[in-house]
Amino acid sequence: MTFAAGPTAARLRRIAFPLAILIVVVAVLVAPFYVSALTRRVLSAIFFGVTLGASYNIIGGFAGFPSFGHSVFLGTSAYTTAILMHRYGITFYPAWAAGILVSLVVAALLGIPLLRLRGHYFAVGTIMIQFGLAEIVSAVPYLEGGRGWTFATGYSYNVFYYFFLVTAILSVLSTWFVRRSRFGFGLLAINRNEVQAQVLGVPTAAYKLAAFVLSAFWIAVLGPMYGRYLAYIDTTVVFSPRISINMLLYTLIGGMGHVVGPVIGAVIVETVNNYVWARFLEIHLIVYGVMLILFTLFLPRGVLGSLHFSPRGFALRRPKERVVSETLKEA
Amino acid sequence: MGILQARGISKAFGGLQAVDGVDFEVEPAEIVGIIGPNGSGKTTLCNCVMGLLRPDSGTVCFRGQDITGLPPYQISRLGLRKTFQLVHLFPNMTVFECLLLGQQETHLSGFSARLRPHSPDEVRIAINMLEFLGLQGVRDHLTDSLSYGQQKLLEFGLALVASPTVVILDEPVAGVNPTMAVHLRDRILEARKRGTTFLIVEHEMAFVMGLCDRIVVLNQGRKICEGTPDQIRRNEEVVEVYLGV
Amino acid sequence: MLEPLVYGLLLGGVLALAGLGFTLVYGVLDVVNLAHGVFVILGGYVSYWLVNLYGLNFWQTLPISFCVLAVFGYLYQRLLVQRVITEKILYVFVLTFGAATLFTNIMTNLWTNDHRSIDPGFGGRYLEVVGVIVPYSRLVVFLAALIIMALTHLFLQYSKMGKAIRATRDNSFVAALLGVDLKHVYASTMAIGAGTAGLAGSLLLAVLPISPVMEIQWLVYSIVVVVVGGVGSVIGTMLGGLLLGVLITATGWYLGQGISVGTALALFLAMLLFRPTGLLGIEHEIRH
Repeated sequence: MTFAAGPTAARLRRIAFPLAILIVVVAVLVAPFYVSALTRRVLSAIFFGVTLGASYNIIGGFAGFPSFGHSVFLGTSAYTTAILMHRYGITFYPAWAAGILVSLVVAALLGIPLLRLRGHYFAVGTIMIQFGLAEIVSAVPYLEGGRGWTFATGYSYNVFYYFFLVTAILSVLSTWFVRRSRFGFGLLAINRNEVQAQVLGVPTAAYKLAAFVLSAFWIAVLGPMYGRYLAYIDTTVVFSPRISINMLLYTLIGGMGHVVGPVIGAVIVETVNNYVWARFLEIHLIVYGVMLILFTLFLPRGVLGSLHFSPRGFALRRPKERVVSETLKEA
Repeated sequence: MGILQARGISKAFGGLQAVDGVDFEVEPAEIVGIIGPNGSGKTTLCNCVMGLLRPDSGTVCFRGQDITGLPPYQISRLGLRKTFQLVHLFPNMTVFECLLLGQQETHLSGFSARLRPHSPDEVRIAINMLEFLGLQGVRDHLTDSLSYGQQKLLEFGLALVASPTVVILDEPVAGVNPTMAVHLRDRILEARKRGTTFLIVEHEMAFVMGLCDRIVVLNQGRKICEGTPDQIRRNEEVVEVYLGV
Repeated sequence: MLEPLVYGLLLGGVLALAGLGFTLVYGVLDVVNLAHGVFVILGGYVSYWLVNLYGLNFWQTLPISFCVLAVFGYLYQRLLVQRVITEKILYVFVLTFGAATLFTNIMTNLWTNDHRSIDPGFGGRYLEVVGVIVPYSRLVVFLAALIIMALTHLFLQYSKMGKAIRATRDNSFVAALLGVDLKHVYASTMAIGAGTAGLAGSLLLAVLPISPVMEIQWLVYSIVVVVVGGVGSVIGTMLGGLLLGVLITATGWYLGQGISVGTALALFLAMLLFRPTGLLGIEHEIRH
């Protein structure tokens, strides 16, 4: 079953599609000056989610190693920055850079043992890291986990809006860049058949570790700014299992392994979340749980994974053929 | 000295000695066959050569270099490749994409090349391989939608697409229809003409006898005989092993 | 000095029982059930409400707790998990996680996060063992856990369903060919897993206050117990429970409460690095 097929429709789509994109882009750029504070907050949350999802996509979507604990990279950079600022008097920007660096080092250290694990055990390992690390940070007084840290916000909410927007764009661009590279191709191969990839010369261990560390980058970048946005962090806020699962959710709902997947996913999840949160606060986690269940049962491949786009239109079931890879288009 | 050399390879699993002190040598542009009844250790031996398993003892030399225990991806880059008995392709990828992948890690000039997309050269090589295999018609089909014979052919092509020096084929025609088997035989001979060396593990006696220059026979992990197809055919021990007298 | 050891061993019994259900489900269905902690806590609540609303004696609530959780587990598997069991393992993770979130928050909504406890009826009597004061309740709970584990083991060894379950675990393909109804076996396994987890929760209620927020903790404990003991080994799970129990109690004793999960994590990582197949587990390759 194909929708919007036919020559007139094709012409319309050639104009309508780019036009729609343009409208959205302009709207998004000027939004802070015209929308309510609530909408601005929701949009900021969406962009935040897009960044998280796009980063996560590299290890979860492309390489196929679903991490359930990626928010630890958010927490590590936020906490490092906070500690450097409060305990050592370092100013924000250098502390921010240091925070990112520490997060990447932690990613490398965790990645090495974790990525050797098979399927179930990798996922379980990340769950353990999520809860274990959160608890350790909470319990160690030097890290002030129990009491948290405060941040001076320092900027207007409009600035944060644009910051989140810019990181969202940059992270999606990074993902796109990875996807079309040989490295990204190698990750896709590892996802589908790691042994065959090895035998064809792909250095799987190195690629996996690189993907893991890369996937932590933009998340680490967000950490300290997120802290300033909220003006306060503690382990429940930045080492949050909910943020980890949300990252997974954005890519899952949008379509894992698709570059634009997290964008669609973040839009859907954050809109629903905020709507429900605003009206049905007590049961919003229940709704969240139900949403997770329904998605895995009925739309596991996500929005993009369940549709098939071709020059003729789009259809619901995936046919046996497929449009060739990005690389060929350039050849 | 041959281009690929195995000396004293042994591998045990738990109490079972799968491979027991096997030696063999392959000369350039030869087609050598490894035959033996089920469980004789053929696949285990080849997995040891390819670095997928670590042999308990013994060495493997490739082009004069000791490659024993190296990780498979390094061995692959040195020019030795292997296919699998049970087809082991990449689901949800097109035939063309697989062929790009198959060559992307060879002849790479450093780290930055990995950040770039595939080059026009690689595209050309992939297209040439499609023609060589005769798979142009399914170029953009997903591997899951190919017939079994086509999958086997693609697996063969993946090994070949990076212009390796030696290719180990593990049961390349098992379960494949006769027409496809003939086609594969023809492609192997053509590739040999272009300089590739082959080591073929196979069960199908007719296929092996009609194709290989030399044959190595294994039984219960040990090499029992080695020689030309004629010599093997006449060897009593081989006949006994296969007919179970 | 000996207190953490003794209390830890006693707690270990309950930990082992919780882990037993988890390893059973993982071994037979190849499913990591992230809602396992929910089963534990739910079992505790069943006992709690039976005691407080209907005045039952604590020990009478145990069989009921088992049955309620077993039915719950059976339906959970048959209606939900079974549908994604054939897909990528990621979907099972997300589904069970969604279920865990759902059930935990229903519990929180209905019963609040307040901690609940009951009096198991020993009037605070205790024994003195090697200089350590051991309350009767802890000792009896430990023994009860052991008995339940033994019963489960016997069930798996000698009953018709137990044999079907073991056959399915060893080779589900052949089992199906031999006429085993896989879906029913899977659901029954989950039922036993949930039932024993519920019993662990009920027993836990007799020694510690429980609350829905503990659900994650007990999931983590179950995972670690299984990783330490090895998948598929009842004795291993027992050892894993004892070891974890001692470690958690010791760190709690000397370093203060609040890092029990961190301790579990440390143990988990140590096991992965040094003994990935567990202390006693069957050869179960977890690395590439």
